Amino acid sequence: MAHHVAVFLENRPHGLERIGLALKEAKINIRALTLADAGDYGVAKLLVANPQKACNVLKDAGLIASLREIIALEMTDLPGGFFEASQKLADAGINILDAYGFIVEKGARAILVVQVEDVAQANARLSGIGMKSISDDDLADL
Amino acid sequence: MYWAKEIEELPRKQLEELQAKKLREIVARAAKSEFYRQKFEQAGLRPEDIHTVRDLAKIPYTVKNDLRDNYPYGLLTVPLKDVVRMHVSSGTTGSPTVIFHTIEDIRRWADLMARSLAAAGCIPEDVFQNMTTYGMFTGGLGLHYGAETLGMMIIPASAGNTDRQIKLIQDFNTTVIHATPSYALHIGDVMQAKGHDPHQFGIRIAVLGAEPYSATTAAKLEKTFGYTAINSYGLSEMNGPGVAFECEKREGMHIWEDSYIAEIIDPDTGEPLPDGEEGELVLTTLDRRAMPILRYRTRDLTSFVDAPCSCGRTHRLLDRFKGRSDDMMIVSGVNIFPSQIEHILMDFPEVGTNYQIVLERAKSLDSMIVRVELMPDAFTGDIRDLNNIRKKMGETMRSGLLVRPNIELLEPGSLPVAQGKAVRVIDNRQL
Repeated sequence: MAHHVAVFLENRPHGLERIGLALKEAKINIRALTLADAGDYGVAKLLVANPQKACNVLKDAGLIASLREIIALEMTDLPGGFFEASQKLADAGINILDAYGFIVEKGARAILVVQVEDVAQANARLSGIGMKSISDDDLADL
Repeated sequence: MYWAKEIEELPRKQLEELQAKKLREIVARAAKSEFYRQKFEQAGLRPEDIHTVRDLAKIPYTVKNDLRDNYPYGLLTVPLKDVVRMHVSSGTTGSPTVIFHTIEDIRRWADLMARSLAAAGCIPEDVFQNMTTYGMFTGGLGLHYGAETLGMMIIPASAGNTDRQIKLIQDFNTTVIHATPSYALHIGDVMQAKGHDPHQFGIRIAVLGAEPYSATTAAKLEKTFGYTAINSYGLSEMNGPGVAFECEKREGMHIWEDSYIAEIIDPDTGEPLPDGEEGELVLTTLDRRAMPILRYRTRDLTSFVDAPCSCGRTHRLLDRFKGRSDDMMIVSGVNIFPSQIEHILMDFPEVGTNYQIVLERAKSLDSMIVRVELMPDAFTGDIRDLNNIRKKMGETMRSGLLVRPNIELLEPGSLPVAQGKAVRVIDNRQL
């Protein structure tokens, strides 16, 4: 199972800075970060080495944080790599709500993170086509 | 123009005698309601103790919460079969207050309204476009019946849809409009944006009410449109519009003293204030059949104009309203209490109970922002869930308040913690 940490933020200066400071002090490294915006407020999503710890640290810092299960798939960092991954997801009938990606090793490995409605169902469908989401531990070792 | 010249110019002494006679009658009628029967009993008052207007002081005040606590029929004095209509007014919590009318009440109201419109200069040849909401609120139907009684041709346009309003004005040569002052400003803005000179339309009178507004706003509207702005005052508890109205002289609003007894009191002590001093308006209905209301605390702040009107009418003048002695807000002509919003928020565990209301006016239109704090446990990590909470809160407020606020979700601790009487409302509008 893989998780990212979602943080509720009002749309005003210092929001991201507070996240950064809390994670810095807890010595937690950020793998990837994405922001969704709804005008007055937004949601920051953070893929980190230790999501449970990061979530607690952010809550302790007075932020609204929530641990959310996601699916992380490895893809090749070459043209067509994303196509291949997205095609598999489509073939498995998995509908994607939100997604982001990052490179692990240039020209070799990249990770696609997707957020879906029903993670259990999506995982079952992935195993049906012989695929598996990377786990939190695997992500921490990247 | 006079509608009921004899009554409108009745010498003060006779007017006061008429008031005393009607007061005795209405107190006796009121005692038939469960609410006033108890209230009189508690105050040790018998209807026969009331002889003159000065005896009014013996009657305890009636407040909005009395109407709510006796919802819906506690103040009714006639059998329901004699009731022909109800209207509502905003309550301080979820439940509104209800006002009932017999056919006679409706006719008297229409007649007072016709008198008011005639005093403002309206004549049967006028084309009257009614741009306020029809329905449970009294502004739409109140003016409608009055304009009809006077004999004007009514365009029952109701509120909103500004392009259509302008087309109706153009196509039917509207000469009198009824709107909230903010909406009247908005129409002027839209006309100008479309390249029209608002003067070209030939509107000669605008009846403006449901919101307090300054003389500066009235003057601005008159300059923009070339019409005469007439200030109108009323409240559902006292029928609605037609309680006090400016005549063509516009030296203040005539309070129709053959139908109402007006007092100005100190809102803090409840003591009556001398003429000319600003305080809270207290009104007693004199003609009501279905639902007499005695010494009703309107919470509206004003004063009597300390001089008779040069028009010759003997009914005293009320000055422009200054505001409220409670925290009621008027947004787009709709009355809203912060407590109503608080009440709705309690049904949403996703947000805290601390809140702030911000009122803005852009392009002459009001908007209301309700700022609330998100509860940490309600956060799923999905922005769609936040948007849904916001949407659901917006819908609930729109159906309860008749105004759709913009909901702002904040992090906990963002709002000032309530200390004593918290300042919940930030009004950034220039009224």
